[in-house]
Parts: sequence; structure tokens; C-alpha cells
Amino acid sequence: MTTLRELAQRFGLAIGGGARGELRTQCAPEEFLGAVTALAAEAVLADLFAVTGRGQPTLTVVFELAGDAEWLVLRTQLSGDSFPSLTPSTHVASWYEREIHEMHGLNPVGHPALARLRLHDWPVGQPPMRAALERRLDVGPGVSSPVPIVHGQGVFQLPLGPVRSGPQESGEFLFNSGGEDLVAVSQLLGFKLRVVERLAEGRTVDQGLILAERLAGVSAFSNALAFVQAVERAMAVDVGEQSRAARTLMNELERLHNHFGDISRLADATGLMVAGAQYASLKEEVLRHCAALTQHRYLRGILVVGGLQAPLPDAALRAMRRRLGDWLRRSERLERLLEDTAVFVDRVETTGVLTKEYAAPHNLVGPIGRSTGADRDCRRDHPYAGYDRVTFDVLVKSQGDALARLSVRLFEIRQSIRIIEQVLEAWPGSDVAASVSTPATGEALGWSEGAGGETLHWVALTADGRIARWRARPPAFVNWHPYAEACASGNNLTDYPVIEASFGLSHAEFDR
Amino acid sequence: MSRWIALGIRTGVRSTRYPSRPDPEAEIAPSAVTVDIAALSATQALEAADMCPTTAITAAGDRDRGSIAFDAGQCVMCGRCVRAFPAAFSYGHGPEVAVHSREALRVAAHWADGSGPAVDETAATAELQRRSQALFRRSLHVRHVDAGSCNGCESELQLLGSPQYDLHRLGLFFTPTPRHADALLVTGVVTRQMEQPLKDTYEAMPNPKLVVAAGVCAVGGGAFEGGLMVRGPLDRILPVDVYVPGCPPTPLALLHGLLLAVGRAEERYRPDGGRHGA
Amino acid sequence: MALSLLLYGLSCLGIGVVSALAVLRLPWCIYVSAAAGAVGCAVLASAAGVWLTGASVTAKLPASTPIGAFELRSSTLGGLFLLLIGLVGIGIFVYSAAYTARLGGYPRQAASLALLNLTFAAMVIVVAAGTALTLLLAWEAMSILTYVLVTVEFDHPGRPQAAFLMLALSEVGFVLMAVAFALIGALAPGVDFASLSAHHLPAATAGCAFVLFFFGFGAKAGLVPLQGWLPEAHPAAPSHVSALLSAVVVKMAIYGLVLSATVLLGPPAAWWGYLAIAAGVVTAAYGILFSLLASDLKRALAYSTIENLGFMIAMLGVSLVFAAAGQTLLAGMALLVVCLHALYHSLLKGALFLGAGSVDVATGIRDMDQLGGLAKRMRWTTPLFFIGAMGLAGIPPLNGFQSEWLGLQTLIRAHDLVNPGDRVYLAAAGTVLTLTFALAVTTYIRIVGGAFLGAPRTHFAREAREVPRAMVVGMAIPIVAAVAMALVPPLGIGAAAAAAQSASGAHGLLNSVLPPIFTHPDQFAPVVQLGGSFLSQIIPANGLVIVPTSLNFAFISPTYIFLTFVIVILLTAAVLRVLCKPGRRETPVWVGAVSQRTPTMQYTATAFTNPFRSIFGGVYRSQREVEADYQQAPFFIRGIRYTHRFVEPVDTYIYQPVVQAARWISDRFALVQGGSLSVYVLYLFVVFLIVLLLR
Repeated sequence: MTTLRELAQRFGLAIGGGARGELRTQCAPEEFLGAVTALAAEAVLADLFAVTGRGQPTLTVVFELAGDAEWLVLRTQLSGDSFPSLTPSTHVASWYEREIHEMHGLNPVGHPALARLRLHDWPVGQPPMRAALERRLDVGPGVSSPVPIVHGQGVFQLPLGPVRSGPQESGEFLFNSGGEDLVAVSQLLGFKLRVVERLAEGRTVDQGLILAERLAGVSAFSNALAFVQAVERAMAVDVGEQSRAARTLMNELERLHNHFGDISRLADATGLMVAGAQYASLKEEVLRHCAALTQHRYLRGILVVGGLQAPLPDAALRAMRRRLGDWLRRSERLERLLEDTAVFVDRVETTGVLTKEYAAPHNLVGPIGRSTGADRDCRRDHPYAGYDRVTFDVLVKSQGDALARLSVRLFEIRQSIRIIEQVLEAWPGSDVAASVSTPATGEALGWSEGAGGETLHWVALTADGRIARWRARPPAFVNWHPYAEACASGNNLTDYPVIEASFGLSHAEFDR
Repeated sequence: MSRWIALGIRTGVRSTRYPSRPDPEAEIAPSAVTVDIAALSATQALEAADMCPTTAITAAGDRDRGSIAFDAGQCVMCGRCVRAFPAAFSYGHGPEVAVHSREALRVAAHWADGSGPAVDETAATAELQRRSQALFRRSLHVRHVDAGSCNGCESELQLLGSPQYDLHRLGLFFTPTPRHADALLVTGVVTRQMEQPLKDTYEAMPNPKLVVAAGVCAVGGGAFEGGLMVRGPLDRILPVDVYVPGCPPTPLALLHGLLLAVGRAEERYRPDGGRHGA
Repeated sequence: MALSLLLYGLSCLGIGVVSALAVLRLPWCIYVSAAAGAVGCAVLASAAGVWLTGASVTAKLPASTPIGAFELRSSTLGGLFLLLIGLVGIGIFVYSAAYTARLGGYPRQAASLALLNLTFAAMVIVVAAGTALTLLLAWEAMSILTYVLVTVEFDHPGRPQAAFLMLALSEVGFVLMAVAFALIGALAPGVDFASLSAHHLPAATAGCAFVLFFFGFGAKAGLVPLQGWLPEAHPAAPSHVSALLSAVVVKMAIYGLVLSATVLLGPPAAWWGYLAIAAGVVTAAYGILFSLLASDLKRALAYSTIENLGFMIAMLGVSLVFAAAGQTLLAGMALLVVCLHALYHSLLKGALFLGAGSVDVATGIRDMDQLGGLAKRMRWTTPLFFIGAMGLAGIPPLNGFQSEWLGLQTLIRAHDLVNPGDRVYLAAAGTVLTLTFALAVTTYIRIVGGAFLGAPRTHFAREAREVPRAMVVGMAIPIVAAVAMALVPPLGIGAAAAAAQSASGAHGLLNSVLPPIFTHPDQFAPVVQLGGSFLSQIIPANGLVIVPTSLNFAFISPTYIFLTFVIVILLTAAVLRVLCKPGRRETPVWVGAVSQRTPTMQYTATAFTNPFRSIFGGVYRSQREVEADYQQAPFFIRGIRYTHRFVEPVDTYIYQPVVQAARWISDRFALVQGGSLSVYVLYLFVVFLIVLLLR
């Protein structure tokens, strides 16, 4: 079993520095392409981002490897504004490079389809992440996202969005249809682009935490947790037992309410309204317990660097513990009913198939990745918070259809309840240490396994403890990539709501 | 299919009794912060302004002379001030936090010569408006537009259809087309790339129409105010009838906001708890 | 009177021919020719009116040949079809006054109009024929004249082949017809229809003759498997000829079918009806299923014609089954449906083809997937087309609904039949026919929606302008006639009932279809004043307000309700216009606030039928192919090609094998053609020897 250390040595990369669990290495720009290609062939490329505005532009690549709890962080400093594109050899780099190109103005030479990822009619030559930009800019012609051109007798296009039909996030999709069947789907994302990474620059860690919590709503806690752990690792701060247990508990609660919500929407999309209502009811109950524990339904305002803002009230913990059995029982009963409902199973089986071969080069994460055979779970592979103290299983399926995604989520619901029970069994008391007196400095990687999958944050702090660069890579960024293909693989127009609900992807996480 | 029907019937009615009766279970989650200015010293006021991550609490001056302003329309419910100064900042107010005018969410105070802060007389301290609306009383069709939210507000809006809240029993409906819509409910700070779709949606609605800004991003810009791609808050772009603060606003607060818009509920929230004025 | 009007009409058509030829010198003679044709048709329509009152006159020509004499005869059955020719003809002639200008050059215009007049004359003689010889000659003249009419634009690709196919299949039909006439003429004292109908044929001969007549006339009537020419020739022909073909020529075939089945051959056997029903139902189903696939406007209409013809043939079969079972009145009802549907269909389909021609002139293309948005650009053609389409789709209160409704009602009366097999057979036929009616609604929605509504999809559609007035008026005439007949049903039903009554021998047919106030208004004198006679001075029909069924019971006339409805809506709209403030604000179509709206973002006619292509995939043997053009990896798609293939069963499984077989046989016979003179001399010698030996 190779480790990242061995891989780095094999490719002649020297490891040095970095927080615990991170293998930092550097290479020259000329060797960058070769090193990344070689590493990506054996390890998994988890993130690729640029840092500009502080001297020469740098590119950082984060690798992980199955069975290895460490991360490999490869950095290169570019001499100019271009670099050889990694996409032809490592497909997953495609969207990362497009983001780097439009946000930082760096040019990946040789990218096969370099087009805008999130910017629409933003003028060319004004990358939003670079310094010195005015607020109001004249709108100029931009380069729009690539749309496959469909020829055929009677083929027409059906636009969806950006303003959707119900209380949903904004995003635009263009279906090419021959009538009933989806021939091709293209997506235009980025409507909710707020450039939160830029907003955080220069702000205090605390203000950055506020932004990290509000980057996404339903996954607020996992994003905030990844951010806080990045800062804690940069400062080499240890978090107490109590905080670890509480963080594990809340991470699982967030997973629970996310999965309940996703399954509720899937049931509604297939017309099974009772199931939708049952799951929505479960989600609401979980949210109410979250509010009782932290005074916020989405677990905002509870995390702080070094621990928690306030202890979790014992009464609320006891009340939640009493409910766990009920949630498990109801969830299992609903799962059995769903399996027995032929009309439901027919609609989700073989719908929105992401084949293993297509999905593998995209390095998918979370339940979506696990439904296509990608066996990755941060809780197991890179244990954080209190996950090294609990036992749980991870389900991996390979069909890649909506049913597989549903099955993985249903399984994770049971595992989440199991984890919560274990945490409450061994609850170390509700006394939490909060304040950290050493000023924050340094840079590090932070991660968590959100309901959507692996969430990576990178924080670099200035000498006076402010944020120099914050990189947020929520799971949706990775998982949106193969979405269009999953929609078009032999599905009908009426399958689309089912596919969308089965993916359960957040626009806010992608657009940021 | 019959087993589903049986399950639904067995589950029974779960809906909250709001607005006819308060619902303590649903009101566990706080909806807004109220401040008792009198319980703050000048130093505490300055500290609170420091710790507030947005411009909800702003202060100027020093211990001897200065001013403090509290803007509930910018409060992201982070809880720092509540935990630091529980005597002055509290989550005590119930879920009915929607208001008609932006000024109603602001309260300012100043101090001089070493005394404690005293509240200025502003619109916020004026009598709670009991405006009656003749429009859409019994049935309101809402067109929602996500103009750049974090998805938290959408999550709460989707839960309005859950058994616990069930907005349909109040005659409130989400409609997919603006042509049939009476009210435009906007969440999210209005990003540059959603500005035109938002305006198109507003134009596509027939008159008369209402506009509701839900969530602190839409009300005051929230954590994103002043950002590069940010055009909001909402009242910079559209005329707003009802503001619902919160990050995200709880489902009951959203219900109150919608009912307020059609005149079936009354304003009940003032940031200073309504202790001053009538 | 009857025949004199006929001769006046024919002479007007003759003037039309002559003046058309004069176009080569005097271009304005186009209008003279068209006007002469139109007047001639009007006279013929009035002649038809006289014929329908029951006059039966014959006129013999002095010349006589060994195979019979030339004889013209007026009959009620012929009268209905003459009425049809006349009414549609007025529209076609008015239309061609302006349309022929685009044929390119005066010689072609002259030829086209002259031939048009001649063709109408030939068709009139078909309908007025009294002997087999007259019929056959006129029929053949009609076939050849239409062939030439279609190939006037011979330099367009594909037209000569389509016309040749039409001619070939016509000749096949002609041969069958001729053999049939020979067969029955040999046994009867004479080949004039009077003696043929009086003569009793033995069952076997009658059956043989029926089959021959059925497929002989059926070739021109678009009967599967001889329908191959219809979907090719109708689109290929110039539009006034398409209308002629679809509205009038195929109805001549229907006339022939009805004539042979009911008049010439005596009492029918039940199996004639079974054959006709089966063939008709298959034709109807085939027609509508392939109409759904066609993206060419005229092709879709042509297949729809096949569907309607199938319905008529099936109802003819029903009539034969009823007649064979002794149910004369029901047989008459079924024949009434045939005649009524023939009349209505020719009016509406003729107008639709003229409309399709207008679209072709205005845009230059006929592909519905490239059209769209014509409603705003062709403000007169669109509503007329819409009414025609609604009528043919069977939307009440228009014509198609009446005839299809009566047809289904007649089929339901199958429970009056004794034989349970008959009942099941008719019930099954009714089921399939109902399905075809439903699919007909779909196909017309598709045609109107795809071609006229929405936004223009290409620059062809964007640059469309309304066509010259003559073309609009020409299209409007049959539509107006049809709508008048729809709103005042006794007009059309009366004519059809007269024709059916004489053909089937049923009595009191009209009474059983219409409430008695229409047929015996004097019995309802006290009721008539209450509104039963409203407007009867202007429109020759009672019962426009209330329709009494007995002296104690009446119901409100649906026509009255419809007209009141329309008047109230118009009044309300006018009042609102005057009273209400103009507080209108226009905003673009709501498509989710999408950034770019392109004309490709609308359903196309082909896309509309995607579900049917899946459902009836077994019939079409459709295959869907999606080919993606990759840039590098399968991840970067440059373009996607989406093709839909289907198999046309008659062509693949019947025509191709026949053609292959014919080729094979002729290849074998080619061996005989040695090419050497001495071999041919040898053949002559051998034949000479054989003839000598046989003597």
C-alpha cells in the first residue's frame, strides 16, 4: 500500500513544513505539469487553486490517497501569468482551471474548452480575485459557457431558469430535446456569485468565520468546521474532548437534516407526496433540536476557533437523545415503504445514470461519488473532530443512478444516528474551552465531510492574524461537473426533476 | 399506494396553530435580537460594536461621548452579543419580526458626559403601525426569486410546505409564474448576475403587487454588504413592502411576514423591544 | 334543366381553356380563364342543386361504338359529387388566378390553367357518366390531365418521379376498373348504368367485380396498398393542383366506389363490407400514423387525406354490411356519412391545401420545423387555415365533428345486427376509427401550432408576407361554404341524404337524421312561431332557435347557442373596450428570466409527436440515434447529431418487392432480346409456324 510520502519521494518531491498531517512540497513551474500528472495517476486530486495578489502567482494542488490519512500539498510559483494546462492529462482539473482563469486571470495553456465558469457578462481582463478593482465596471462582452450544438430534425431547446418554479436556488439549464427525450443538457451557473473569498481578505478570522458559515446554508456547519479547523491547524491549536464530541454530534445532525431534506424533495419530484411530507417533517424536527442545542437552526454561531462559543445545554441533549430512536424507526419504515413502492422505484431506477467510467476521472465526493463507486469519506479517511472515537460504515454503490444515490443517503442516515448515539454515550461533559489567546498566523488546510461530501478549506493568515487568502472548495464544486452528462444519458424531460432532486446539489456552494 | 395513505392518516395533523395560537415548540429558534439600551454601559456598547461581524451594531466615540446604532436589518444572528452581554441583548422576542419599513429595524442611542446611552427618538420608537392592506387578504400567490442567497432561506421556505407549517392552510401559495403572482419574495443579497433576472421577474408581474425582502441579505446586505458582485440590498433595486430579518428567518417569521404583507397580521417587533414610545 | 345547366357549366370551362391558350398573346387572359372556370364551377354547383332534388335525366350522344355509347346522366349521387366539384372548384380557380403567376413564364401559366379547366370538365363527365365507356374515357382523361398538371414544373427535383408514380398507380387502377366493367358488361344487356343496375349478377361474378372495382377505384382513393402516389404527388404538385387532387380527384374515386358497390353490382354480400371495412380502417390508421411523422406541411396534409379516405371507405363497408343484413335504413345512414364526409372533407382539405400553397408562396419552404410565427405575418390565411384544421380535426361545431359523430353513431347501431361476428367486427372498426380521430386532432394541432403559431424559427418564416388577395379569397370560399354548412346542418346533410337515399334505397333517411322540424315543418306550425322559423327566409332551414322533436318537447338549437355565445363574447369585448381604461403593459414572454430567448426555444412540429413515435414504435420501427462529436475526450462535446429513422411499411414490404420481382422477370426476358437481327427473324418464323399449325 503506497502512501503519499512514498509517492512524493518517487517523483523527487521534497517534503517540508506544513501543519500536522499535511505534506508540503514545492516544484518548479516547468516540472509542475509532469509532477501533477504523475501524482494524479495514482492519487486523487482534491483541489487546485491559485493565490494572486501577494507577489508572484502560485498554484496549489491538494492530493489525497485511499488508505493514507495525510494530504499532499504541492505548490508551484509561476513566473508569469500562464501555466501548462493539466486538463488534457487530468480531466478533473478542467473546471478548477476555468475558475482560476476567470477569477485570477491566469491562463492554462492548452485547455481544450477554456470558457467562463461562473462569470456571465463580466468584461474580459478584469479577474475579480485580483487586486485593485473598482466597484462599478462597464459591462463588456464576455465568453459564455460552451454549449454543445445539437443538430437534428425538430430538435428544439427548452430553457429552465434562472428563476425556477418554486422556492429553489437560481441557475440556468438549457435542454436540447427531440420532443420528449433529453438529447443534451448544458448548464449556466454562477448567478449567485458573491466572490466570498475576496470579501474575506483582510478581515479578521472571526469575520471570516461568519462568511464561512454563510457561504452555504444547509451545509453551514461543515463549511464553518472546515474553516475553523484550517485556522486551528494553522495555529497548531488543540481542541478539547468536549468540543470534539460536540462538533461530531453537530456534523452528524447537519448530515441528517440534509439527507432528510434531499429525500423529501426526491419523493416530491416523483409525486409521492406523503413520503415527501414525512421526510420534511423529520427534517423540521432535526432543525428544531439543532436550535435547542445552539440557538440557531442551522448550527450557525456555535463554532469558534479553539472550541465552541457556548456549551450545549444538557436538557436539549437529553431531549434529542430521546428522539433518536423515533427518528431511526421512522426512517427505516419509510425506507421499506419506498422500496416496496413500484412506481417510485421505477422512476428512480436507471434514471440519471453516471457510469463509473465517466464519473471516475471527476473525483466525485460525497453520496454522489459513493454511488458511482468512489470510495471516499473524510470521516473515515482523514478523521477529524471526534471521528476517531466512533465506528461507522460507509456504503459504496456503482450503478450511479438516482436509486443508488438514494440508497447511499438512506444508509448514511442510519449511520449518522448510530454515530450520534455513540457520541452521546461517551459524552465527556458539556464544559467547553473557548478562547484562544495566541494570535492566528500561518496557513493550513481544513476539511470536513459535509452532507454533500468532502469540504476543503484553505486559510492563509497574515502576521497580524487577518485573512490573507481563503480558499473554499465545498463538495458541490466537484459534483456539478458531470451533472449535465447524467441528465442527458437517455432520460426524458419528465425525468429531469427526479435527477435534479437525486443529486441535491447546491448552487450557493458552487457559485460562492 | 394505500400503505402511504394509511401512513399519512396515522401520522395525523402536525400543523402548528400559528397564527391563532403561539407555538412554543416552533419558537425554540430565535428570530431576532432585541436590545435593552439602558442595560448597556458606554464601554460595553463600544465592545459590542467591535465584536459584531456586520454593521448591525456600530458605535463611535469613546467612553465619555459617543453613539451606538443597532440595525436589526443587518443582524446575522451570530449570537456573539447575546452571549457576551445577556442583560442587554436577548433573543427573547417571538417569531413575529417582520416590519413594513426599513427604519423600523433601526434604533440609535447616544451618550455624553459619562452617562449611559439613551435612545434617540426615531421612527423605531414610534407607535407600531397598524396599517391595513386591502389586497390579497385571503389568498396570496407568491413568486420567489433567489437573488444570491446561501440556500438557507430557501431551505426555510421549502419547509413552509412541510406538515409542521403548511402554508396552504393560510391561503398562501408559491406560484411558478410571475403572471399569476401577487407578491414577489426575494431572498439573498442581489448579486450582479441576478439583478436583471430579478428585475425581469418584477416587470413580469401584474399590478398590484407586493415585494417582500426575506432574510438579512435582502433586507440590509448581511455579511456580504459592499462586496464586489453585490448590488443589494433589495431596496436599492425594488420598492419593498415588508422586511423579514433573520439569517435565515425562521419559518414562523416568514409566515408572519407574508401575513403582514396582506394585512392579516400586525407588526410586533421593534429592536428596542418597544420599550420606548407607545 | 339539369343537363342544360351542366352543359352551360362545361362550356364555361371550355371558354376557360380557350382563354388560357390566349394567354400566350394576351397575358390578362389569365384572369379571364380563371373567372370562366370559377363561373363554370358555380353553374355546375347550381346544376348539382337541381340534380339533388331528384331529377334523373339522360342524354345520349349520337355516336356509338361497339363497346357502348356515350351517355350523360344526372343522378342524385352524382349531384352530390358535382356539388363538391363546383364549390371547391370556385375556390381553386379564384386561387389559381394569382397562384399560377409563380409557375414561371406564360407558357406554363397557360398550360396550367387550360389543363385545370379541362380536368374539371373531365371530372364533371366522370360524375355525369351514364355508361361505362364514358366513365372510363373521362377517368383516363382525368388521370392523364392531372399527371400533366403535376409535371408543369418539371424542372423541380423529384416532381417527375412523383407524377410518374401517380400515373403508374392510376393505370393499375384503370386496368382493374376496365376489367371489372368488361366482366359485368359481358353479362349484362348493355354497359349503361341503368341496365347494369337492373341486371342481376351471379354472386361469384359480382364478388369478383366488386374486388376489381374496389381496388381499381381504390388506387385513386388512396387505398392501402395502392396509396403510394398520394404522399408523393400532393407535395410535389403546384398547390392548386394539390388541392385539386386531394379535394376533388380522390372524391371521384369515392364516387366510383359508391357507384360500383351500391348501384352497379346489385345486392351486396356481407364479405364485401368486411373487406371494405378492413381496408378502410387500415388505410385510416396508416394515414394518420404517418401524418404524425411528416414534417413537410403538404405531406402531413396528404397523409391526413389518406386517413379521411380510409374513414369513408370503412363507412362504405359498414353500409354494405348493413345492406347485406337487410338493415336498409342503417345502410343508408352509413352511405350518408360517406357522402357527407366526402363533401365536408373536400371543402376543408381543398382550402387547407390552398393555404399550404399560400404558405409555400409566402415563405418558400414547407418544412414545419422551420416555420412558425406566421399568424402575425399572414393575418388572413392563418384564421382560415385554423378553421379548416379545426373542422378536419373534428372539433364541434364544425364539419368534421358532424360527419365523424354521425359515423360513430352509425357504428354503435351495430347492435341492431343479428350476427354477433358482425357486431364485434364493427365495434373493432369503430375503436380503431375513434383512435384515428383522436390522432387527427393531434396532427392538426401540430400542423397549426408548428407552422403558424409561436415565433418564426428561420428567416424564411420571418420574412413571410401575406399572399395576394385572390389567393386568400380562393381559400376563403370553400371555408365559408363549409362553415355555413356546419352552422346550418340541413344544408349539407340534406344534400348527402338525398344522394345516400338514392344509392341505398332507404326511405326517409333525412327524417332519421334530422329532427322532424327540418323535414316536416308544417307539422310544427304552432311551435314554429316561437323561434323555429327564425331566419328561415334568409337561410333555408328551420330550427335555428328551438328544435322541436314532438309537439310537446323541443331543445335549444346548438347552432343558436353557438351563435349567441359568439355574439355575447363580441359584445362584452366591445363594451369592455369602450368602458375600461387602457391599463395594459406588455412584457416579454416569461421563460424563467432566461438571458437569451431564441426562436429555437419552442416546440417544433416534429418534437410534438415524439411520444407517438415512441408509443407506435412498433409500427414505425423507429430508431433514435444520438451521435456526439468529441473534441478530445468524451468530456468535451463539440456537436451532437440526433436522427430519427423510421420504416415506411408499404414501400418497404410491398412496392420494393414488387419492383424487384418485376425487374427480375424483365431481366429474365431480356435474355430473349438478343439484339441480333437473325434471332428476331427466327422468332417471327417460329410464331408464323405456330399460327399456321393452329389454323
